[in-house]
Amino acid sequence: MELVKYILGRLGRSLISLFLVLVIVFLLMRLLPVETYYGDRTDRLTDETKQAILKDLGLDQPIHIQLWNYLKDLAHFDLGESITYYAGKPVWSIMAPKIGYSLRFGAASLAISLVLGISLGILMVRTKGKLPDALGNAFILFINAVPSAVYYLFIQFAGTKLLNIGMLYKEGDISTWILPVISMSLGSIASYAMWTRRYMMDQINSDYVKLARAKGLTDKQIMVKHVLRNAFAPMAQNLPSSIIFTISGSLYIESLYSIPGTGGLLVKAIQAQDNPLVQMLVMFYAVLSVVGMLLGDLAMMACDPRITFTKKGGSR
Amino acid sequence: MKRTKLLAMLVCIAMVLAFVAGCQGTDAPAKTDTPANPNTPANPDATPSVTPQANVSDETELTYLFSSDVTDWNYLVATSNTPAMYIDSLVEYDYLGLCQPCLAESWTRSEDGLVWTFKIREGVKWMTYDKQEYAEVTAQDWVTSAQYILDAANASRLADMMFTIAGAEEYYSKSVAGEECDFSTVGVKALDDYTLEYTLKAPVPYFLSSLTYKNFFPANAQFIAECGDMFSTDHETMLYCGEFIMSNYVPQQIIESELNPTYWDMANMHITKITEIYNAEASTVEPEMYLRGEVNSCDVPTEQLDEWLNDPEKYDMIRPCRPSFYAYYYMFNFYPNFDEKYEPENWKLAVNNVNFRKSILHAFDKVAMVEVDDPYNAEAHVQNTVTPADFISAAGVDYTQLDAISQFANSTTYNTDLANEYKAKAIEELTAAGAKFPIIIYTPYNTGSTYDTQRVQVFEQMLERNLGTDYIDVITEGYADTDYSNSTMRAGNYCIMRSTWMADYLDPLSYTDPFRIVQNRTNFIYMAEGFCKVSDTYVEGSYEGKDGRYYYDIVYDNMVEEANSEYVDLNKRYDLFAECENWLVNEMCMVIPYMRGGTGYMGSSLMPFESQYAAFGASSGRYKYQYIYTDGINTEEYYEAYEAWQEERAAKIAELDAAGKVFGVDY
Amino acid sequence: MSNVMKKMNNMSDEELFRFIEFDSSRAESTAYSGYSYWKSTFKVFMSKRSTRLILYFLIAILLFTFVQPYLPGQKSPTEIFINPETGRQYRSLQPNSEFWFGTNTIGQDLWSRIWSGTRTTMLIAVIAVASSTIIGIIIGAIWGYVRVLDRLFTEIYNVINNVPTTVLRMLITYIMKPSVGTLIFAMCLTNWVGMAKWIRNLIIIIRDREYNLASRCLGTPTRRVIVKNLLPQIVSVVMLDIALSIPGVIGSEVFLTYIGLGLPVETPSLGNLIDEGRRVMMNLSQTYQLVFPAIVVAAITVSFYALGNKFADASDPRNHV
Repeated sequence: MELVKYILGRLGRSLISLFLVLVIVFLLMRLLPVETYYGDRTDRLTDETKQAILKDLGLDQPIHIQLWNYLKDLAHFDLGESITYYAGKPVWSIMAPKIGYSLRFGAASLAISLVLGISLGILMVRTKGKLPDALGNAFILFINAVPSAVYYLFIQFAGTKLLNIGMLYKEGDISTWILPVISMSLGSIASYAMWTRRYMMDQINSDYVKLARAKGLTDKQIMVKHVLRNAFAPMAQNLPSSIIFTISGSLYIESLYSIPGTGGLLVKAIQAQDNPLVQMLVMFYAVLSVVGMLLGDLAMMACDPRITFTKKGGSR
Repeated sequence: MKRTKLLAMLVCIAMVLAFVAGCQGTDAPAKTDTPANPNTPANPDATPSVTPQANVSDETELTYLFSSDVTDWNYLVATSNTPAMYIDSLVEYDYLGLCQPCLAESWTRSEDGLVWTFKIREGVKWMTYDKQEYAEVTAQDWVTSAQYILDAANASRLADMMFTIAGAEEYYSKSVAGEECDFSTVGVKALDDYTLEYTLKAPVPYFLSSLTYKNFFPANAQFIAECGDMFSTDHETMLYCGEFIMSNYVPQQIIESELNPTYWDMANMHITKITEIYNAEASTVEPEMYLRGEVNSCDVPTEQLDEWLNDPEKYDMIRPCRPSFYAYYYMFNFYPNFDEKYEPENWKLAVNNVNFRKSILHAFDKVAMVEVDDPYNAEAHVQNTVTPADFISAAGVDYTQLDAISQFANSTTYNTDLANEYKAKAIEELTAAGAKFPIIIYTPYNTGSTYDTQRVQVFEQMLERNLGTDYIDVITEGYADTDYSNSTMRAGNYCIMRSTWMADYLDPLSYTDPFRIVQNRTNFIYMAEGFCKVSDTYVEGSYEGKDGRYYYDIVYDNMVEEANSEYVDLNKRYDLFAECENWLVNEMCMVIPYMRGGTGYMGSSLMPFESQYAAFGASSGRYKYQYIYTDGINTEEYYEAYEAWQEERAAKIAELDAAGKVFGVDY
Repeated sequence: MSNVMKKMNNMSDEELFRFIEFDSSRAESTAYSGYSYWKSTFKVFMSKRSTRLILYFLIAILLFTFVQPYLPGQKSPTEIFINPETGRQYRSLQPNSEFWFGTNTIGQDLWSRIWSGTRTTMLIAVIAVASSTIIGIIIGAIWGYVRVLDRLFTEIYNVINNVPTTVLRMLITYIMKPSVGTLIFAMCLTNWVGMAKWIRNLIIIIRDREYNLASRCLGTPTRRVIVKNLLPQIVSVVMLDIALSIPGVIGSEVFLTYIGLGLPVETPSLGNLIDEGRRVMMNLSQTYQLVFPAIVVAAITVSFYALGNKFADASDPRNHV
């Protein structure tokens, strides 16, 4: 029960920070110049037309009134309509269809990278100093050393030629999934493998492992039951965030393969100075991050019973 | 403890599941209507305007990539869309650039040139996105669109383009002010279903050509009323009366356009479907896709040209781009409004000295500059005038070859000896005037564009090498892409800067726009000392300048005004305009035109000389007359066709000239 | 030896031993080994030959980037070279004796651009990582250890962290002009938050361990517990993170260049050299424009990564014996 109270309290407090975030971004966006709204004929528009455009967009009023109007609409769950990006479309309807795509690709790549990454990490620990460990290290090195922009493009160009498939993602054609998912996974496979190896190495030197060995447990048992679990705790915290943030998509890969996901939407919205859309996206990401962090803490708690967030007597 | 842990786990799992499930709800595939094959084959008996060549493909569908999405489909409001393939205009331009009937079958002009009457084509249908007939296109539809644009509540960016029509400006002003206004005072009338009449404020020799822009596109009143605020937000809230119907549209994903089964000129349509796929990385991916035959068009990035032109296989698939009507020029700033450390006062002294400006002109290697955009045909793209060649002609003589301007237009301005002569003169005069050397030339550039960054480096090194760093000091500063023009050009925050202009209609007046005070927000030639009068308070006939003072009696504007008032004898009109231009670019050297657009190479399955051709308006967005060629057009085929096209056009124009017709009005 | 022994054998007990006074202050003292954590870490770190080689290599590269412009026969990284015969630019020239790494697509010398770019990028990376690490560790340690502050810090973190990085970085670039300073500022502003959170998580994991409980029972001040008990525990992970941050900064620079907010080509940096090279990657005759900068990036990244790993190992006290 204490935990439920803790969760509710934390979510409640998050509302305040969410509100602050929205106000800050709202004010920051209003610092940008209004000329963007006039379109590419700016130089030829009369002042009257410019005034009419601003009025149409609701930008002719003082900032505090604009903010008040925004908050009022928000209280009625009205997120507003896009003003420049897709003029007239409700902002949520721009975002909603894209989430599915990013989520599916993200989830596929997350699953692959978790399984492969952690397995690779364990393998490397068990063969420390031998060939598989060296190869694994070489792979991690390569992924970290070569900027991803370079090998993404290479995978697309060479991969599609090799598999003899179209260069772009096509709905319903499963073969066009392979390359984007591989590209998305490579980085996180390397990072999961690296951290698994690092944490497990840290754990292997600890006394409880020596004890377990002395008790006659097999290496496998020690690894899976004791070491991995302890090593997993720090990673568990970031896991929910990773899952949730697959929704935000991968800007570069989605761009390359024409995947209609959410990647890059925020960049585009800011460039177009589409205030309602930016607000919606910022709110959306903020909520995701609040939830992700909460889940992360809970996950960590679940993995390691020694960790608590609720106040215990005697602690500070 | 144990229970807490379990609970935490459960909450965690539940939340993740709920989230995933929630998202899957929105996950359903987008509704895609695949209508039955509607492609009515083109009438085989009709003779196409251009004889197709041997390698015409059986394929009738095109696939493109696009990287910047159309953000507002409302053609009566936004400036960024190209709806020409969806909506037809009153007139159109054929592949030779001659005006042809389109939705107007014929037209007449009153004696005084003020009243234009159009006979509207009968039986043209408004279609919905799912190919249902909605209504017939009638004269009233042009009245509707005019009224829509001039209604301030719609915040149309095109309103000022209607102001050639009698009563339009007054109506719009009242509408902005929120006053009662009566549309019957505006000179657009539907006399009956098929007769449309425009009454102009003053005779406009180029009126016909301005009709191809979208502010003169029709719109259906009933449909607008039905859609309300949602009019033209996507393919379902648009009506179509042009070549194509947008059958599917998902923002940032796909645009599918299918041939309009009721299109009035079906005989000339050879393409049945156009699929455009969104790809933000198009410039990277597109060339490779074109090579593999996955798309029908690509731009070859300049940095890859060396490779493409040296690889025989790739070379055979690409061709030069067709020259466009974009004029690129460097302009001097007479309103230095930048940081003290770049010495704006010193620049003001320098820029008002004609010898200084000319020393820059002659030290400016135009070919080297064009090379950034097109390293292989640089010389062909150099242009000394603002108005490009082939834009308009007077009695058989191209505008750039008129006596007033031809000598300069055909010269080579890059001459370091001459530059140093002018430099010596300028040093003498400027020293006397108290200027400090070296003169700082503050040059902002756009960091978002690779080519702009390269250009500014060429610019700096070229001028400093040719004129010496004891004379000038080019200082460059990068600005982010988004607000680039506003924070630099429009603010007067530069010394010399690159800019561009393209005509809106077929008249030399269009190319004077950027330099006159009336429409001027990017350069400040009206402030040039000795060529204007200025007052701190309002004077009859004056305009407020960027600095808040009032300018009148501006030499250049007066010259243009005089040329513009000649609307009877068009040959004389063009001569007068040529004189204005000669004064601007040659005598006074206020701007340095250096390049004509359409640089570089591209790959395409279409033959550029089959398409509708006009320097302005929306004609180039249509697909009428065009065939798809199996293996693309290569450079040889391109030049061959280019020459044939030039001959054909010249012959046709000569024929019309001989018949006593006047360019721009009669053809 | 035998001399001393002989001498000692000849001495009486009185000469050999003497009584000392009882000293209560030394009653509790235990053996002192002269062990210093940092000294041992350094010793273990430097004991391996491969580590020393990588370290010297990295130092050599960094020194070279600074020395390179002053060496004889070096070209300016921004000058566009013109072919004197044709008067046109030396575009995409393959590596040759004149241009050691060839030229780029407008005729600038790639060799000098790469060194100049390395200089710029390393400057950005080192300053950005150093400052965000320092801020991050300080705030993260307090945040993680002092339980009452957890709520407050979490809320502050939520506010800062929930304004998406992209929004902050884009707006900063719009307000300030794109330059080295802007980039460093933008990266610091967003990076330290992540570091702080990272440290906080690690601290929470080890905060409630028994020896900390013991320290608390003994009344050790919080500051001392953080510095002596907690920080050494996380040094290994932090070092690895720093080592990877440097390549990370290079990566974000490439990303910022990609969305049009990076450094202009006029200021060469590894980020925009890679971005330039990427565009011509698939053209065999121009591949060198990507390969050379990529090798430099890879060499630097690998060195930092290897050093980070070695240091992490060396900083584990259990490896000090």
